[in-house]
Amino acid sequence: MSTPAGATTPIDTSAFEIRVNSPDTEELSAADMRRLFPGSALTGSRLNRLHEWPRVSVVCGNQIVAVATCQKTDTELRAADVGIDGSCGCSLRVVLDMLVDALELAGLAGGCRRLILMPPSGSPDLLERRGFTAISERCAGGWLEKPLV
Amino acid sequence: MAGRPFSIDSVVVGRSPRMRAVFDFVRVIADSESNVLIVGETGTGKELIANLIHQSGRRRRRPFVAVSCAILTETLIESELFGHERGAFTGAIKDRPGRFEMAEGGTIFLDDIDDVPASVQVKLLRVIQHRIVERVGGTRAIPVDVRVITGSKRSLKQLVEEGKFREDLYYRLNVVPIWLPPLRERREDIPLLTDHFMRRFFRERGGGVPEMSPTVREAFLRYPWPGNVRELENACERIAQTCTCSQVRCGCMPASILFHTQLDSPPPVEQQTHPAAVSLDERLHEVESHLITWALKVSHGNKSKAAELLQIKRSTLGDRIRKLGLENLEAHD
Repeated sequence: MSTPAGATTPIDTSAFEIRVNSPDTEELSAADMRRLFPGSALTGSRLNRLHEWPRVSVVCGNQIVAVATCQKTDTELRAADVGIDGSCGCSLRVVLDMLVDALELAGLAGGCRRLILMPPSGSPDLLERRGFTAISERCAGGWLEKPLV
Repeated sequence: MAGRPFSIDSVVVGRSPRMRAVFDFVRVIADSESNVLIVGETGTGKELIANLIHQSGRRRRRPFVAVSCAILTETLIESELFGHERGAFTGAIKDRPGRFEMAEGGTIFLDDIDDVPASVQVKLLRVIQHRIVERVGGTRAIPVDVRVITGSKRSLKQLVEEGKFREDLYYRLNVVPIWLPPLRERREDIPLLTDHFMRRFFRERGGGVPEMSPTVREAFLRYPWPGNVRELENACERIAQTCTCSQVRCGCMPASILFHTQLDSPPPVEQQTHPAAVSLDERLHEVESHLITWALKVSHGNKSKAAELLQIKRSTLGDRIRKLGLENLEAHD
């Protein structure tokens, strides 16, 4: 079936599954961590957070294709480590959308007023299109934010 | 228990974005094994959401055990949660499994976790970390396969900062936090919930559902509902029990809502095309109870001050309290 010019093809997301895990219930393997945070992205402090913090993951088949560590304060949800497997063959946009949808949902359900995250490489444009903006607060680095209403 | 639990359909009614997000999120986390912390004021439906998580997940065919930690004394709570062996204490005449064991394979919902004493917090941490319980007076470690959902009416983070709650336990419980907004912060759901409860209770009574007058609807919207959905449900049930009018009018409202409406603005005047019988004595009793409750509350249970506020003698106040059966309230305040 042909798609009219300018229209976007609906994407089948049924192959993906969202999981919310704690370190108690499911450990992230060393291989997964290296795949999701290649090279120098896997810093020591990131490794600790991946081991100890709750995580939201996107799973395709039996493989984790995206992950974000989460920390909730009274008013915001912070995802300091967002990793996407660039080698899995899935569309970056689809995987990122699935992950950010789940993070936004978790933030709203948790009573947060904003979601802030450190974007993985190649994603800031996609995130800006979803309403994320650079944090204007001092020392914000590359963090992006989105109000949750 | 804190109060009568309400049905799942009653909380699933709601179109506010926050509540829709909660329901969607429940679907996402249902199959996860992670601990869930549900924070919300009394009456917002914490137990109901916990039950919804259980019913939506893979443990649905196994038990859902709900425990209110607030109603158990420090000595009882340990035996209640972890069980006891025969002879562990006076009155322990036989072995008894605790709630964790009863929930084997299913879900345990520990409500009012903010009221758990420090000594029990340590033991809870051990159960959550190692998934084993030890009965009071026993030495055997019993493995348990239970999903833990907790409920709190206060911010646990704040209790941690005040030194009243263990930080390590907080991080174990706060893996997936859910916040249930109070009804006053999702007023768009009030008409929806009201219609839902009115239909239910009038049908249970076996009659048609009368219209609500615009004044009553307005009063319901403006009332702050400190008891949240549970209070709204009780108000609708009370109207269904007592109202025989063709239209629900101001006089049919519970005294607390009526009184609040009248504090806000002059008493509403309604066009009464079909006057129906209203028990004056019953209404006067309600208003009197409400005023005495208010006076005792603001005077922190001091009857002399309360009598002064109500401009009656202290002895008269005592008589009225006895007549209206408000002695319990007096003791609490």
